[in-house]
Amino acid sequence: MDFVSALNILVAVSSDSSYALIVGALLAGYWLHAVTGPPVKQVTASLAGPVMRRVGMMSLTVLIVCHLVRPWFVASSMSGSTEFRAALALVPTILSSTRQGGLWYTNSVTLVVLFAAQSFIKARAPSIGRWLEMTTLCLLAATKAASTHASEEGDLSPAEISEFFHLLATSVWAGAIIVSGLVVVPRLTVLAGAPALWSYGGRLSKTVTLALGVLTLSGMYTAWRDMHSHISALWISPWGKILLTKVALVGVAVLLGGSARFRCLRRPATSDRATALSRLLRSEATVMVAILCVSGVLANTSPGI
Amino acid sequence: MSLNLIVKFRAQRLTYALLASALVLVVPAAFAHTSPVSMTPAADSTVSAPQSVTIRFTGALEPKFSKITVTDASGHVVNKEASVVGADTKVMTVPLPALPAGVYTVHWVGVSTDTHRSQGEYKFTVK
Repeated sequence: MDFVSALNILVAVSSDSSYALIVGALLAGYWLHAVTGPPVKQVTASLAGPVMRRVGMMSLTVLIVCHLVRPWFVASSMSGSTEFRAALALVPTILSSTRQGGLWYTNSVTLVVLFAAQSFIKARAPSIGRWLEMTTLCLLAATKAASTHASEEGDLSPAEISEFFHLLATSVWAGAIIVSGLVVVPRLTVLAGAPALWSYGGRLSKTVTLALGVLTLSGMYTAWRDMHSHISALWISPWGKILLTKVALVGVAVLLGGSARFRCLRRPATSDRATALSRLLRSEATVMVAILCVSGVLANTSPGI
Repeated sequence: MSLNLIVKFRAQRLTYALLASALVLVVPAAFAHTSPVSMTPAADSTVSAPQSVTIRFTGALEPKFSKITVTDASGHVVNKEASVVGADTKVMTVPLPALPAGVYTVHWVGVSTDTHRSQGEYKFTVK
């Protein structure tokens, strides 16, 4: 793999991860607001407010940087040139004459609105800010779906719509688990206690289960549409090996999530189970980071058949 | 069937079910390298002098970055005009002048709308 391809994968992974983290921070904020009880309100308000805002803004900054450098990588990919100046010279053509260029302008406006929503609209008018966040995040998923192979059957085709839901569900699953497992749950366990953790964990578990349902449906559709042409590549190509690695990691994440749900959240809240839940979610979040990295490599690897 | 065999059989089925479920969850939208599905004149065919070369690809093309050039046996480019992608963005055509008899090579570059680039070549003979 050459340097530019590696850099392209790094940008793709950073972009997808930061998008997922913004989605995760938004959801975690909702669930924290819903946790009731006067002793824990201060803790959850602090986590839902400044902490989630910091996670959201840091992720959005990374997302914007990835967005700004993307036209160069598109120019490099389309022209086959890895020379910096040659690809840079093609950026105006990319932005003015290609489908990717049109989508880049749409994303630029969307990111400005998302930045405004996160930085000041949400503080002054929380409900408008949250609606703007949700709308812009959906729009970003829609433009991402429109920039992939799924869009070749036309705009709003079943393939593109399936890809849109697949991207959203992936981000909900990955973002919610990473933000919860690495940021929210460890703090809730220590500062708010098991009942608050169970209230939060119940909402997290239900949402992730729903996301897994959507992922299963969209995955079945994509498998029916595309996989037959790549099934032979599954066992023999680097693409297949990366995909099987991702399958193994997803299997581990599902098992960890299932353990958290059935061994902890379905049983009465105790401090021992709270510690176990925190550990399980942290492990699942770590696996999820690995899944995002493998997904970035997979998305930029050809089946080769 | 002994209890051990039943347990083993069920465990095996569960493993396959888990693997299949995980595969469905992670199946990626295909990485699209667009490629020709039909060429006129066809590869390795012998034809009367064609007025153009037309290639239909598997996916939509980016007109600014996709192209066809046709060279003769000595490697000189014979098409005077640039190739164009039509209203059907999966089809690219290059007009040709009157070609004398000989072997010609079609070089194509197809860039799909999702940025992936592929290229190739094939020959045809003018009788």
